[in-house]
Amino acid sequence: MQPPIATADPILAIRDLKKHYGGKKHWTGAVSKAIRAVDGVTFTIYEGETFGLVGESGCGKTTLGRCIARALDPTDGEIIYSPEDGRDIDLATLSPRQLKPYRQDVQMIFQDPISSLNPRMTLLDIIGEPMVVNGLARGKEVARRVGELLERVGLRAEYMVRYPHAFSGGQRQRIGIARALALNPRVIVCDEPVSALDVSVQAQILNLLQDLQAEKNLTYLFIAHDLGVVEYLCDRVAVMYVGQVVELAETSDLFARPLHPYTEALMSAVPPANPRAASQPRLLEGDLANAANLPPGCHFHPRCGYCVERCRTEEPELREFSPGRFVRCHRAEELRLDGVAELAEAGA
Amino acid sequence: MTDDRHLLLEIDELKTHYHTPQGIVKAVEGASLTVREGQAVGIVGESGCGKSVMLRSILRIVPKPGQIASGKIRFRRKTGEMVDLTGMDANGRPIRDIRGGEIAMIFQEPMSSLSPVHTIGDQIMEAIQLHKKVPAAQARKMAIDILAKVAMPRPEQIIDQYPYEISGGMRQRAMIAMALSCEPRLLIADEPTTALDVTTQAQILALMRKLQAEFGMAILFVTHDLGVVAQMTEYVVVMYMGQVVEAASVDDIFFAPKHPYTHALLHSIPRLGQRTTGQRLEPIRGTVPDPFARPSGCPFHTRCNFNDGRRCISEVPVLREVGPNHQARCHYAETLALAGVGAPTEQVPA
Repeated sequence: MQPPIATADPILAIRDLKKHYGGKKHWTGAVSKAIRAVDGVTFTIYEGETFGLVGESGCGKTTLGRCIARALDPTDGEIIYSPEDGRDIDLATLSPRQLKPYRQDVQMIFQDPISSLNPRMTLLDIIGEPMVVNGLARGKEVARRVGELLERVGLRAEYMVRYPHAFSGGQRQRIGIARALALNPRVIVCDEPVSALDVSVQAQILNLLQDLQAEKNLTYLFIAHDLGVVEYLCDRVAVMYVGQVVELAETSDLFARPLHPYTEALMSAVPPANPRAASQPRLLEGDLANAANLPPGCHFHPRCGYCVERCRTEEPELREFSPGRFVRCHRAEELRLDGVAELAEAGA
Repeated sequence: MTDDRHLLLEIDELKTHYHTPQGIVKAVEGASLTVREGQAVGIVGESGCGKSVMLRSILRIVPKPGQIASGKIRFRRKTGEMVDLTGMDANGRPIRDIRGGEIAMIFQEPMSSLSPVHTIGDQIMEAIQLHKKVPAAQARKMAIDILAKVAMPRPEQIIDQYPYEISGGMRQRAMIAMALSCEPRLLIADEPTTALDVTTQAQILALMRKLQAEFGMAILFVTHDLGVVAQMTEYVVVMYMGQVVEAASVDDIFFAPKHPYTHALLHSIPRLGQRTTGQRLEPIRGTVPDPFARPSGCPFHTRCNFNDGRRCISEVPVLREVGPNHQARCHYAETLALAGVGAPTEQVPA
């Protein structure tokens, strides 16, 4: 649905990004084991695209999104951002002062529309404060712009004197979107923006996000666990498993023919919304691997149905399988995994 | 298809109202449904449509200031006798025997519905000992057995652990084990997999399907995930603003919906494998109306694409038969010719 990626310029290039928690040496000499929340993630996001990030809870997708928005400081790696003037800047290592000019270019929308809005601030303050802090507007200009933004996201301008509690979940998510738009960002990290909403409202917010993208040429990093939403909205998708990208492809390729057994398992686990298509999930055994104590070899091997000896000992690299398709699996060439279409057919 | 299974639960024009200082909230406003023995019935609707209040009315655990204003909830007990649950004392012996013993409930959030200061085993054993006269040692053995039944890994160890020590999927298994410990005849599942990951959800759904076949119990399955509805239920009840707006077999709901709200719900959801270039989702206009100001006429008319501007806003539609075993609450149910999701003729029946 978006222009082909080949013609777009990279806007964010993530290079071997890591975020580890703990692992520090205590003064007694004891070393705590590091939790590798994000462990060497590499991908490029192009201008104007919607890049999806999926995986189970605890796989590090939120941590990665927050690192990219520099709400968290990454442990290692690079976040190469290309501002409009054509230079390349590594956001990962900038000090807060150096970072400030780029902060407004990368904004976030959060999952929980209740806890992400300050209950003691009016909408005017919530949406207007970023403008004042960044010197984009002052005085009466702030109220005018806030009014415009509210109307753009489908609320009335006179609501700006109200507090968040006066609004429903869907309306609060619209407020969150207006706040993200306040600084005219180029990239928005959307962290599960619709998972807390009712289905009917979810569609309204998804359509709003699409309209805004077309209007303002926004780039989205869309973090979600609902594969239906991801398939609908995203141009390319990266699948994460305990801190690493295990597969990356264009959406239609990924859903038609996954290359990684974990992607196949994720897709088959979604119950088809069709009573005549019997669901045949490839049930995964056990739970997500522990990020502080990862299994040797491929991190997915204890749950993988296609595991062979090599998977238990040798850790696979993320490699380019075909142009634009990346996979982290030793057996990608030999396996014939089922995509969404086959699963639907198999069940019918 | 005629159904000769015994009627297990029959809700008849139930009204549960909340008397608040701001006015009366009619959370459930004349809802009716039936569940037969061993049947899996789905309840679908947005938050605030009254589905949770209706379920809590069955067990008589509606939180104050809510109370059942009128209507009947008839339930067939193990002895075969039909009893009216609304007529019972909410703290009396009969309802307490039914609660947990004959009707069990599992909740959406396993962390907040399990006690954090008791071990998994203590909580399951309490349920067993409440309903069965067995010594503690035997109750413990039964608890381990039921944990093994729900495919809990290492049940002998898990039984002595606290909820915070185990993962979300395992907690939900523990909740199911507790609910099944007294072999209920009706299991009420209030969004049992919403808080779980898809992979864990698939495990839990497969488990519930297996246990339903094994125990032969009926399930009332509340969810907003249409995929879960399609896979888990045989009959579906769609609720809007405290009323049942459509009730039909799962096939009819998906392929031949008769109420505009059901139709709108089906078409507002991105479905896996349905990606078509440039096609937009069709959201339902606006939001659920304020419960203090119910719209006149059909409660859905404010958001309905087929609102005629006259009859819909003045006359309240009744729930009526619009086809075999198919009910809808719409003046124009027969004439709208609403499209389901994908024509059923394309599919080979399973």
